Amino acid sequence: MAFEQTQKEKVIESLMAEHRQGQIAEINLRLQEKTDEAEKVWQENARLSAEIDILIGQMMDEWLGNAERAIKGLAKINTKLEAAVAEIKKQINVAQNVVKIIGLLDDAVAIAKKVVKGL
Amino acid sequence: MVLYGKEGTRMMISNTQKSTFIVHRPLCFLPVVLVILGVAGCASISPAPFTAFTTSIQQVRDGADASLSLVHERARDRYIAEAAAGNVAKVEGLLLTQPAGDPFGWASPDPPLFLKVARFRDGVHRLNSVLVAYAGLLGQLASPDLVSPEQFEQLARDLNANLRTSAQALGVSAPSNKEIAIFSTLGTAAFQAYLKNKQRSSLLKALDSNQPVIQDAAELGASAVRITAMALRNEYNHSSATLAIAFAKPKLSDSEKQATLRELIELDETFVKEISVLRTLHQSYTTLPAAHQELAAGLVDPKRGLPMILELLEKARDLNRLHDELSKGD
Repeated sequence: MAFEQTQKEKVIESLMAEHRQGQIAEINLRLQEKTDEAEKVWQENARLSAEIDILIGQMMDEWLGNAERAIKGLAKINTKLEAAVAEIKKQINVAQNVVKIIGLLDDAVAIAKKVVKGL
Repeated sequence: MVLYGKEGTRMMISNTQKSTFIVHRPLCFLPVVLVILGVAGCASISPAPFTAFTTSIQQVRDGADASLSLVHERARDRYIAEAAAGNVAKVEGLLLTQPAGDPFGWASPDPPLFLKVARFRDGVHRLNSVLVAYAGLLGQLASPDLVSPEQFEQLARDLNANLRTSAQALGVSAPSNKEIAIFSTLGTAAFQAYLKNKQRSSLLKALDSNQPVIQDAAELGASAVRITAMALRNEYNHSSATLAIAFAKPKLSDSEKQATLRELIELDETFVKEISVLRTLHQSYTTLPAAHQELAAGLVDPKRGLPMILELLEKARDLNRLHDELSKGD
C-alpha cells in the first residue's frame, strides 16, 4: 500500500467516468424528448452502476482485512507505551515510599529508645 | 517540569560549589554528580509537538468519521429509492438470513452497499482511534508532569526531614543540617535526572521503533480516504443525475425548473466542500509519517524546526474550518 491510487482504484475510477458519461447521455436524450433511447441508456447504466457498487464494497472489505492487522499491531504498541509510562510512575512511587519508610523507622527507633531508657 | 533540566541542574551545581561536604568526601558523590552532569546535557522534552500531533490525529478521526457518515446516509437513501422504484433484487438484499450454525449471525444474499459502508466506517474509526490512543500515550510519556520538579522537591524535603530525625533518633554524631540538605537534594535530583533520562530514552525508542507501523497506518488511512472519496462521488453522481433528469421532464413549469436547478447547484456546492474535506484528510495522512519522524528528530535536536508537525496542525485547522462551513450549510 502507498499514498498513490492502486490499479483497482484506477479501474473503478474509469468505470465511474464511463457511468457518468452514460448519465449525461441519458439526460441529453431526455432533454431532446427521446424517451425510448434514454430508457435504453438508463438500463445499461444501471447495470454498470450495480457493478461499481459491488467493486466499491469489495474495496471496503479488502481494506478492512488489511486494517485489522494494523489495528492489532498498534494496540500492541500502545500496551508497551502504557507499561513505559507506568514504570516511571512506579519508580517515583517506590522512592516516595522509601522516604516514608525512613520516616516510619525514625519513629520506631525513637519509641524503642524510650522503651530501653524506661527499663 | 520542562524548565527543570536546565534550572534545576544549575541550582544543584551551585549547591555543589558551596559544599564543604563534597570537598571532604568527593569520591562518594562523584557518581551522583556525573549522572546529573550527564543528564544536564540533555534538553528538556517539549510537550507542544506531541500535543499538536494528538490534536491533529483527533481532527483526522472526526473528519473521516463525519465523511463516512455522509456516505452511509446517502448510500442508504439511494438504496431505499431504488428498491421503492421496483428493483426486486434490492428488496431481496434487505431480507437477512441466518448463516448455518451461527445463532447470532446474519447474512444478506446481496449485501447492500450501505451495510458495507457502515462496517467500513467502523473499521476506519477503530484504526483512527488506536492512532489517537498512540498519540495520547506519546504525549503522556513526553509530559513534564510525569517527572515533575514539584514531586522531587517534596521528596527532597521529606528525605531531608526524615534523615535529620533518623540521625537524632539513632544518637549518631549527626552531620550538619546543611550537609543533610545537600545529600537529600543531590540524591533526589540524581534520581529525577535518572528518570528524566529514562523518560526521554523510552520516548525516543518508541518513536524510532514504531515509525514503520505509523507509515503503514497512515497509508491505510489515506487508502480509506480515497475509497470514501470514490463512494462519495458515486453517490453525488446518482443524486445529481436524478435532479438533472427531473429538470429534463417536459411538463415542468419555469419555477419548478428553477427550483430543481437551485437544488442541483446546492448539491454541487456541498459536494465541492465535502470532497475538499477528503482532500485535506488525505494530505493529513500523507504528512503523518514525516510528522511522527519529526517528533523523534525534535527530541534529538530541540533547535530544529518542526515543519511537518506544523503542516499537520494546519491541515487539522483546515478540517475544522471546512466542518464548520458544512455544518452551517445544514
